[in-house]
Amino acid sequence: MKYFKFAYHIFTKNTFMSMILLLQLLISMLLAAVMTGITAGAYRSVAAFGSLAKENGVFYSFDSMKYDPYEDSDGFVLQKIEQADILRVSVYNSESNRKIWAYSSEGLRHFRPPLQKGAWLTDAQPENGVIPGVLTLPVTDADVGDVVQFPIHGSETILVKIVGILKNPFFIDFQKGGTVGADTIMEKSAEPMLLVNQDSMGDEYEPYRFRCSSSLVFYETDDPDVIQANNEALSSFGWVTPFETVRQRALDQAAFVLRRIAPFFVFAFLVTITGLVGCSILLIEDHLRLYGVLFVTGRTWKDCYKIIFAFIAIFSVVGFVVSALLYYLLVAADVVTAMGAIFTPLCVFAPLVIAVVLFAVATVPCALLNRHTPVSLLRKSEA
Amino acid sequence: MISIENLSKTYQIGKRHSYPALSDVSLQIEDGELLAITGPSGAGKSTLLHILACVDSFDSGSVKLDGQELSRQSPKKLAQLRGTTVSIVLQDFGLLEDFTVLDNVMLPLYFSKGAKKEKKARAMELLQQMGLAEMAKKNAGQLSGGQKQRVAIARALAGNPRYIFADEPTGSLDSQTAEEITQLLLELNQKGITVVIVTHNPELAARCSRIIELRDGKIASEHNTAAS
Repeated sequence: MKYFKFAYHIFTKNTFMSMILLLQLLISMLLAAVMTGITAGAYRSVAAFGSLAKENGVFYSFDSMKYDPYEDSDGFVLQKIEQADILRVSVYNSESNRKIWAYSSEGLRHFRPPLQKGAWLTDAQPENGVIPGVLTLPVTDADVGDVVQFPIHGSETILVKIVGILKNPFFIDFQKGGTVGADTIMEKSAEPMLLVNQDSMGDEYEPYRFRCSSSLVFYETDDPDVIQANNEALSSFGWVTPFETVRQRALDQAAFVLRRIAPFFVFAFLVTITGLVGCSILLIEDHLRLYGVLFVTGRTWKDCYKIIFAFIAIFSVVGFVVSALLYYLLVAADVVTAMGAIFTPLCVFAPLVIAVVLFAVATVPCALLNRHTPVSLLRKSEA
Repeated sequence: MISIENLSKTYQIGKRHSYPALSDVSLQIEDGELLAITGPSGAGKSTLLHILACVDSFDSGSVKLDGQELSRQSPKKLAQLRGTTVSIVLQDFGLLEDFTVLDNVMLPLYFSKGAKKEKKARAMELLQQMGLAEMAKKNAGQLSGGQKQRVAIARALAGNPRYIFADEPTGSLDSQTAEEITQLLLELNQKGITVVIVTHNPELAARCSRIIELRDGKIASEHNTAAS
């Protein structure tokens, strides 16, 4: 305890230098906490999305554009496709205003809309380059088993074999990256449309993979309240993607954040840690005469080392407590959350590492003490 | 009593060169003695003083302080001796200029057992004896040379030493102040403290009971003075 008291005595004797050192320590600890928080925040979502991708179902959230599996756990509902009619849930549940947000590719294996005739897309296979398609409404000039021309780009067409017809739905085809206006939706609902699996347009046929422009099917109804709810729900549709895509986006976003922000933080961190190391060595070296005086008045070198470490400990404790508190306040005030930073135990660990570095740095002046005789230390000018 | 036999110390300069600071020095210092050590620069005076004050080590020979062989003492024991039995007063005073006068005097007592109040009282008593009680709260850097040396002597007395080793205590002072400090050391000796002074000042040396002259790390001459 006496060593801490004496170290504090030294701290107050050289207030300006001590404050400089403390400031650098605070900044480096805070930067370390922020960097750790940003990294943890970025990859936490990735991990969550990755685990969700293994689920079988379609996922709803209360805010389709912004979702955090940790923060919005109440607003996140996994609706198993085989357990419920996903469309009816989304349409009729207008009170909770849930929006379809993403789906698991695995879940689409089980998706089977009601059919009045024939089979669903995933139950059919392409034959001789002709891919399967399903009509949304019966048409007069084509039936199950017929091969029709399906336009893809301008005048370019492919051959599609009709394998099924949906059971009285009106069909919504929304595009990746945008919402479809309710009016457009209602107009389209009256038109018969041919559904195909987008991936079947490529070289490899993947019956279970539906892209963002895949279709969702709604039941027709005359109930004005339901229609209103439909419109509200549909007009708010935006991104609907496989969870693998969501996870990859989260990963890309995390990597982007880190690529953009990390260099700045790393640079600032290196600058402050260099200053911190330099300042602490200088501050202790400035007191070599003090240690010389302590030696001749009855202390051992070991006592001097203890004072040096007590000195560093005071800085480390103050810096650690203040930086942790500051970081917590910054997270609570949403200052760093805009960069995706979160508050986790890891953010406490990072400043501790710096404190350890500081203790390691303190061994340098201890080594300097050993190189001098006590009397030569006394001849050094006092700081 | 201090008994020195065949004491030698060599300083290493670089990897190849060495400098023999003391060679085969033998002498005895009696309790209560006032001894002056003189000699030209580089004779080994300060080296001898520092060894006796337990501040420096030696390479060979024997130094016994009250029967205790210093070379066999642990660093902790030597530190204990420095804080209690022996004290050193330096030419440049050896004070911490950013600390107060009171803090400087209390330095040897800071880590010892006892209540802070008692230590403070002891330090103030010493300052009183030195005529510096009113300077207690001032920073040591604000004092004159003579005042600083008084503070250094007060600090040296904090642990109730029986031996005081003074290395050119008046070297940085004007003649009048030097005389005041010399008087102070003489008074301490009269109280029973063994005082060993390294000095270039022949007048100061003449006031000691015995003078030992060192040359090239060896005792060149030794004689009692009229003051003895």
